[in-house]
Amino acid sequence: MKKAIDTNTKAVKPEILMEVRDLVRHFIGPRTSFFGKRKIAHAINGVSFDLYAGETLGLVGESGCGKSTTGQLILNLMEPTSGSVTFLGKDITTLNKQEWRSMRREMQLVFQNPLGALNPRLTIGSQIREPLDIHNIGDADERNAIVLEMFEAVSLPPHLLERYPHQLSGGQQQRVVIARALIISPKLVVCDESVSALDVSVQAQVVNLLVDLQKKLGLTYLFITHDLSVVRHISNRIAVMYLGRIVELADSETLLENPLHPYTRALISAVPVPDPRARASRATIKGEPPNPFNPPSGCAFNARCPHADDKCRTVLPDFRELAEKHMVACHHAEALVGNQKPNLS
Amino acid sequence: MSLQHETTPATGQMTPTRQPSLIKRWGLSGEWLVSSALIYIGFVLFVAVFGFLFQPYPHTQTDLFNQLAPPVFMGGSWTNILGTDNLGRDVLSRLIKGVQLSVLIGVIGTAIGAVLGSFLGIVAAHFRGWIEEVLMMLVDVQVSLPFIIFALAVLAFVGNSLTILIIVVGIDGWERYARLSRSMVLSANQKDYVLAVRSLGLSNFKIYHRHVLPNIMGTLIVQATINLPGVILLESTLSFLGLGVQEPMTSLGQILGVGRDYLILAPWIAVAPGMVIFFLTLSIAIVGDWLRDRLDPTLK
Repeated sequence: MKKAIDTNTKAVKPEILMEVRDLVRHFIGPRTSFFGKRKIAHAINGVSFDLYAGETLGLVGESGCGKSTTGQLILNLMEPTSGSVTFLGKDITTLNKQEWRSMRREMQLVFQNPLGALNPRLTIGSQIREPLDIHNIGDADERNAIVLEMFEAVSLPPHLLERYPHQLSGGQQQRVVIARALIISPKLVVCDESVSALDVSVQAQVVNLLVDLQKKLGLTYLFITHDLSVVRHISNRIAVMYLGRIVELADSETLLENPLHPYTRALISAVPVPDPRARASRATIKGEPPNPFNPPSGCAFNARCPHADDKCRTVLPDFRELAEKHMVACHHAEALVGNQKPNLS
Repeated sequence: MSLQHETTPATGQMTPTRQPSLIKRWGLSGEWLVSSALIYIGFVLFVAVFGFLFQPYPHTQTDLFNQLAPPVFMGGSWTNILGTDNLGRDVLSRLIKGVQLSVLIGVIGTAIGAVLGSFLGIVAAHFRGWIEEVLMMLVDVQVSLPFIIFALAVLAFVGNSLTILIIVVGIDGWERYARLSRSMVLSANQKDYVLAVRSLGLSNFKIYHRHVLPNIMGTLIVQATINLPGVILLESTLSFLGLGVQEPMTSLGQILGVGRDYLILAPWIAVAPGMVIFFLTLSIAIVGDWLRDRLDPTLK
């Protein structure tokens, strides 16, 4: 049997930028009857992870699994029901309004739909400038200079500054959104499906741009996506979410080469392989993710898992470190190590 | 990249329709239509403000020997260009006076409704919860209440004066602005560009001022241009019922009401204010349509 777990560990422990611990977010559903109780959806059900300075953590999962909610929670665009988020040594879930104003400079969001993320009535230039205006950075001339510099950094020609968002192409719009997010030099950037709405060729350009900017500016990314083929190009580590929980977390190489959770395996084998003959041995999953208003007992994946047994249906698996820097939440992870390696070229 | 626009056509777009404007659908070049509408509105406003300078007679001056005299183009004399009414009052003088009051009531009434309604709609959308429920319940009450009955009751209890009349016609239509602005603010608050500036730490006031209001203003202005003729007509209706403008004051609606009794005998009494109202309403609608296009950069 091939040695399953990649064990190249770095001697120096990297600096932790953000610590997320037991993050929970409930949504309260509509009243089903006049006297009925409102149901509670556990959108995020105890998510914990660390973000190291300068890394890119990919957060993948199906739609509705809570990826975007996690992103919004750590930016405090939504209040968590419980749990803590420690950023630069401060618990940001307890900050007051004033402290938040300065904290906002350190973390930014890049959206999925670039056209929707830009105000249709303001010119590109004034929208990129806006973060500087809000935080009172520099005087008018300095601000314009910074805008031009940033515009160049995302490789857009300066004459576009006077244009309106709808006059730009999708790729250009996304560059504008990135420029606006990075202009106040944040430490953490949450990319919420930032390239999913773009053409494949443009996707590659934007991903390369993000990587370049990361090197240049020393950014940390939380890269939320459903697209594994994108995430492997940009992420140092990948976390896989399923129904409000992280089910597997490891270095990108490790996770893609040796996935331990059956759900991760299914996700990986669902990535299209550009070879018409290579369609054998796919670990497919059937059915749809369970309703978060009515989650199954035990492991949330049990109804769709080929390895599920009675224990899976009753006992919630711990999120444990099975190998060095490889966390997984599955009762059968040990048995699955090295077994049926998925086909990923 | 055009694909991108096709797959997400409506994002960032606040006006409810993306159809080409009425003018364009008619296949007209539009420019002369809009220009003449603007000129006409300008003329009416000019008459409303400066009409007293060339008003031939006081609008209350009667001439019982010269009743129902026809206008010049129907064989009348040049002393009464648009003829006289049943009491021998000069129709042109009354028209100038009537335009003055009708425009005043129309503009102020529309402004009251637009500001009040939009503000309450924004309040409802911002605070949600019980504030929204109470406000929207008031909207429903207003919608289900026949407005004429409401106006009758108010004018009967509070008494009739110009101020009260303006307030009453101003209240008409607030619920439309309230519903419109509430739903538009709700959707604007969900827009990513609002989320983006919120995550940058922009204050609520500035978010509304800079990002939300400019995007919903176009629709509200179009709503106001739809409502303005309605307010003028409502004033006419109330005057017709004897609850609106009282003698010796006069308005377009009141002249129309008087003219109704002499429609066969002396059609000019009703036709003159009728034409003014008709073209004013049409011009405002055309200009409103044009404004909508002008205010939306994505339609340029």
